[in-house]
Amino acid sequence: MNQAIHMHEGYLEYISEERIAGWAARIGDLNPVEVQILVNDKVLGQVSANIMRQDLRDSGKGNGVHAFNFYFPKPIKDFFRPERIQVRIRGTGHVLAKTAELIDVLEAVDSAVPETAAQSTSAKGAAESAAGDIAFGILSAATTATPTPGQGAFLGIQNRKLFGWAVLEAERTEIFVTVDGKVLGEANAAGSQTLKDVGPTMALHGFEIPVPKTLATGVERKIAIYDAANGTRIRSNPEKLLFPKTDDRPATATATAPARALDPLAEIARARQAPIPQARDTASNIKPAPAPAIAPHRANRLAVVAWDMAHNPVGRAFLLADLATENQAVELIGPTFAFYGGRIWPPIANTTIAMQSFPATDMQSLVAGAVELASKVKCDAVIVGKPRLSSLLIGALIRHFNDCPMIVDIDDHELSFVQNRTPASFEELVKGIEADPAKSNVPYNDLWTRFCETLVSEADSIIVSNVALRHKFGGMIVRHARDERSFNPSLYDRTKTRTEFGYTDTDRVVLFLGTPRAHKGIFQLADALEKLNDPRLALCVIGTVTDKRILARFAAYKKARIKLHPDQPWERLPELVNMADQVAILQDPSHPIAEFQIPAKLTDSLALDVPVLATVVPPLRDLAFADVFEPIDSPADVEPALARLAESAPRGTAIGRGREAFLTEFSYGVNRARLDLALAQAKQSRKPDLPKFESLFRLLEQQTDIQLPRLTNAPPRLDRRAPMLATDKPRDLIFLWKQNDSDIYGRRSDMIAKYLLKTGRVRRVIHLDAPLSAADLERQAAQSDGDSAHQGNLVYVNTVRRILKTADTPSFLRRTYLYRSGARPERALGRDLPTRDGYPDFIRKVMKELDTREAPLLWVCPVVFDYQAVADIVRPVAIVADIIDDQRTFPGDSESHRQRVAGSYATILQEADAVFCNCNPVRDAFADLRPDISVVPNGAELLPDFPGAGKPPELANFPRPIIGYVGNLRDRVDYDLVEAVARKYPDGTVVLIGSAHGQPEVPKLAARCPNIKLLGVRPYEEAQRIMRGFDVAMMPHLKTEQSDRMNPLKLYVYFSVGVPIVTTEVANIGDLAPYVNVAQDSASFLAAIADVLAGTGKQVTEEARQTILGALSWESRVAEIWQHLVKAI
Amino acid sequence: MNIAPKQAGRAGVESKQSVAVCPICQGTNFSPAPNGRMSRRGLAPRCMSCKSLERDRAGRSLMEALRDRELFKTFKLLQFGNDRIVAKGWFRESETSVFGSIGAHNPMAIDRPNESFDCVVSSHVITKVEDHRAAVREIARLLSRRGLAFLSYPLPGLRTVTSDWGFPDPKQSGNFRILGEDFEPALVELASGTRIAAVKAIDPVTKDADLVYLMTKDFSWMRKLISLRLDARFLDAA
Repeated sequence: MNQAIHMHEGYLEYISEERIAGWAARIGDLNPVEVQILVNDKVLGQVSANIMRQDLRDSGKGNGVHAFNFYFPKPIKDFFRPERIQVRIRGTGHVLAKTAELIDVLEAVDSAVPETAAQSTSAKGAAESAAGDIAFGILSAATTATPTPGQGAFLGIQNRKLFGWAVLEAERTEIFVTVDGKVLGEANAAGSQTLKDVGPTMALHGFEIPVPKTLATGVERKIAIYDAANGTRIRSNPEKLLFPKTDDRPATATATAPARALDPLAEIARARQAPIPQARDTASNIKPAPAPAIAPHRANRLAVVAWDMAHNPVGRAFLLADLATENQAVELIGPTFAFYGGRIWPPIANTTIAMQSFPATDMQSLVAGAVELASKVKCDAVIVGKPRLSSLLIGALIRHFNDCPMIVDIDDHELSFVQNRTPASFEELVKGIEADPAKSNVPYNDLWTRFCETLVSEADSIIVSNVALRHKFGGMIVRHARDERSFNPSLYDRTKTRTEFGYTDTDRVVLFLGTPRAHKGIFQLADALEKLNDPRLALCVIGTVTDKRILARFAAYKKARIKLHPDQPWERLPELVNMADQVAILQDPSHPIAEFQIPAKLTDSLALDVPVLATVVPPLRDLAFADVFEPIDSPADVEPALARLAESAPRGTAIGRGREAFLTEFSYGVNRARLDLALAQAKQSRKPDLPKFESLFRLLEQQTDIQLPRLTNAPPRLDRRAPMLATDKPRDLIFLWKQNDSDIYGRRSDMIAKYLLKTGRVRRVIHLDAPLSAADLERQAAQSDGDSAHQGNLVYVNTVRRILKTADTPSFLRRTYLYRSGARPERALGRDLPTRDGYPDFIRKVMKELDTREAPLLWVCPVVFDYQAVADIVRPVAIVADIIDDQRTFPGDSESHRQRVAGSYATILQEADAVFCNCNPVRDAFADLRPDISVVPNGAELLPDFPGAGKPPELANFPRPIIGYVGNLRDRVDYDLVEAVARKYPDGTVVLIGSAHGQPEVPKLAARCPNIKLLGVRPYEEAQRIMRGFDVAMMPHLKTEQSDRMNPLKLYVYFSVGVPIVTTEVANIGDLAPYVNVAQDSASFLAAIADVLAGTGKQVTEEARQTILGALSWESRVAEIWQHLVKAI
Repeated sequence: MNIAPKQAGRAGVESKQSVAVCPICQGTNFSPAPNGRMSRRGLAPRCMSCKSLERDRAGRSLMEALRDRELFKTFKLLQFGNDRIVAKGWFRESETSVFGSIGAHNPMAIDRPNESFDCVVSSHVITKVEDHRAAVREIARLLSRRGLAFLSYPLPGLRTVTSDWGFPDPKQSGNFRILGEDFEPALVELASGTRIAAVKAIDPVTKDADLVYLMTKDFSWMRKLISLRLDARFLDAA
């Protein structure tokens, strides 16, 4: 035990009612330790001592990542009693000592406590004590004496409002408050409404100013009050204030307890009845005895994520981390994939930058490691190095856990490295995973990388390494920089290095650094040298050649002076470059990598003032323009360029063009400034929501069973929406239908939209069908070609009308988003089609077109996968979900699709203000997701009579009796029963109206029974007209799990038309069962038809029918829905 | 050397920036700055019409925002240099002193009475004089009680500590020093009697920001900064 104690160190530096802070470490170990917080010897909680503190680092405490901060679940009384609270390093018995300063403070608090009302026990007393707590200390001047002009104070921040008071000269009251010198806001210090009961000072001189979310970062800031009339600064305490993070404390504190959000030190000071000292971040200010050099300094913290720490892509991330270390406390993090070696890439393994990594092999280990690592990282900003799955996943998690901006760094076009260079949409990704789950378990496979490119647009800011990438992705350029202090030609002895490698002053050395390969233009150089045959020119290749064919090719040169050297230590890089007279960077311009990549050796050469010969590829275009290097436009340019080199004077010591360009463009100084700027910009341009990342997280959850946080940042429902009143003026209704068959069958969704509009409570209906790809639209038309029983043609026609806006009426707008089928540009209906990802833009456009001032209602018939994106853009006053059926039970869907469907139901039902469905089984099926679903069954239309309605021409030539069925001919239809009906009435006709797509047995059935007539898909009104000519309308449905969760609408339609009805006994027909013929089996079904035809079946009088219809009509259903809705919102 | 890439690059730059308009001359064509320098965001910064750079346009935009047309018509301007942060036509009268030219004022000791100018513009001057502290004191001395002074210097805020090498280094554009953040408290001290705000001025063409110090003895200018919601930080000089 003693041994364990000696191996650890740390101090408890701060205690308040609300939190405890300090640092703890294992001596000589960079890994963070866990500490346990004990209250009255019982473990209250545990926290990792893994917060980076520059002061600890500066004083030699490992890498500085050893601080901890623990918020008590509820305020701790008597926290000042030393024996009350202890902190122990987990598993060691090492209890942290308190600093001398902390002991002083606690003792002072202890002695002052009896004078506070903190020990009041009754509920009333507690409330009074809270109020008194505010007045105590800070308001002491106001309560014990009259505050004098020029005095003021800050009470603290509560519910994102800063409270304080100020008394100005000449009874003025207008003030402004600055935070870190910048104006937070103006206010009238004439009494705070919220805190008027706290005391007379707050009632007379109080003010409150909203605090923007951007300041709620948990950072201590300088704060001051000024007289707005003349800028005189008001003497106020404290001069610094901790601006708590939005989520640091619950926003449930009452107005009588705003001091809870004050800096805890101010609370102690109030309790001490002493003048308020400058509030400080005590965790870094109170110095533990063994580390006296700790300075009260808190640097910004930055996390840089590499997608793999085990191989060279980490190089760029390391560079950014290194760049940032001067102004930030930086941590380099990422997985080490076993595939790439499983250990930190050797060139960076021994650097001083703090690093955290975890081993990963597959998706499971990546996601698990990412969640664990990200939850530990504390930072003010995160940079994602390269848009790959692992880095983006970790970056987005860190962004979420720290509420900080995420910057994506792009230094290559990642798709240059994969076979298919087009980005993959989310749908393509899902399909790919379903097609090959094993392959998609590899986080760095091509499909993931292709998808990740689409996530770049959700970064808060983008940085790129060259102009070609900026042209593609936008963002700020942060070059492949080098530290001007070490990459300085004056530091190296050029002659000595040249001598070492066998070159004299008269030689002109062309350096090739790196693994020689044909596509790098190495043989262009060799060929040119061979032709020139100039002994002064020498090609120096530094890089081990492992390919024997390359070696053989080099050996074939007889005149060219070529020397091959093995790999050299990384540290020698500047020295080696410095010996050269020219560095050649020849690339194949047609190679996809060359299209977007700048080789780092360009920077190295410029830094050391070595002239560069380079192929002009897009990433170098701006540099060619600035004459930074000698451009090679074609292989023929190489020879003359080398000939000029042979004749050139030796390199002088004066600063040349290369070094100048380096200092102004590629140096650490310049690029650090750019990086800082990008970080600052990112903080100002936070994206409110990350819908694509949200989809990704849900997908990864399904794949790995590891829970990932929700990233939607939508404000809570009550904040977003005002209550809706029965007396509200009409609003627009955005209606999301899950399919593309609206206005064809007179479905429930069509009816609800139609009758809601009729109520006059809805101003306009904007009806949105599911997004559709051009290929799918064409497929609809193609499939229905020559097949009248296929709905495709009607879908096609309707969709085209919706796209061309010819289906609109002034109050009913119909839209469908048509997108391109793949990544390639595509035109349809005379317009360029956007990609699937452009749907949110389409919704924005629709909203703009609507020009609506009132927040609309959002009506959604799940499952609608785009619901979230639409809701976030529409910002509805209320969300209503109407469940038509249960898609989770649909046969034939893959498991991943089923999970996606279930996820979508969960989201919609949780967010909706009111949820409806058409029958009890559906309500029961979703009760676990939403217990308060209201059942409103389907309805019937009150149809006007019109002449000739009973003699539709379509039926004129069919022998009677005509027994008909209208509805989709799906697997819920009992085709055996249909056939039995047809066979029983061989001289009559069985008419089937509806889509038979995907049901090959339907045409076969019609072929077997010539008296079965397929009339194909008919639009709703047409179908209504035809069914009036039926002698019997039948519903031969099977009883299945699916039909158990349906309220068959066709029954209502039959009833509204007024034809006799025979149906099988399926679920959810209770409304109409008393008025129709319900058959328990096939025999009774046939018997019921016979009864109806004989005039003995169940049939209601026209008068009774009208009465029943009144009760079951869509008008009454929609009125019922509206009542529920107003009650719910 | 083949100049094709250069032509292509220029054409590209111009077309990309076609919507940007120079607030000084309304020019719309921009080229790289001397030595091929591009803006921090990598855009071509030099107006091909009035030759203005980022700092000129950022300063002009700021002063345009603050300008009270009627009041400025009663103002007397002292401007160090030929930059176009303000237009002489805005003022009742003006004096221009181009540092280093014959007859120019010595910025460290200007032969003019106290509070004799209502607007003083010193852009990238104080780093070029031997004693920058004296130059700041002079600006504060010359500024009238109702006036406004505009002070800027290269790369403010990019380094924490001032680097002063004591001679006008030609490699550093003739500067004696590069001022760091540590100069801000000194500025407050040197310009006692004035209020100072550090304002982030934005060049509308490149969107690059330049830090500018506005000095005044009349608090209403600071109020205007507040009402315009500019990104301003007050250096306490009361």
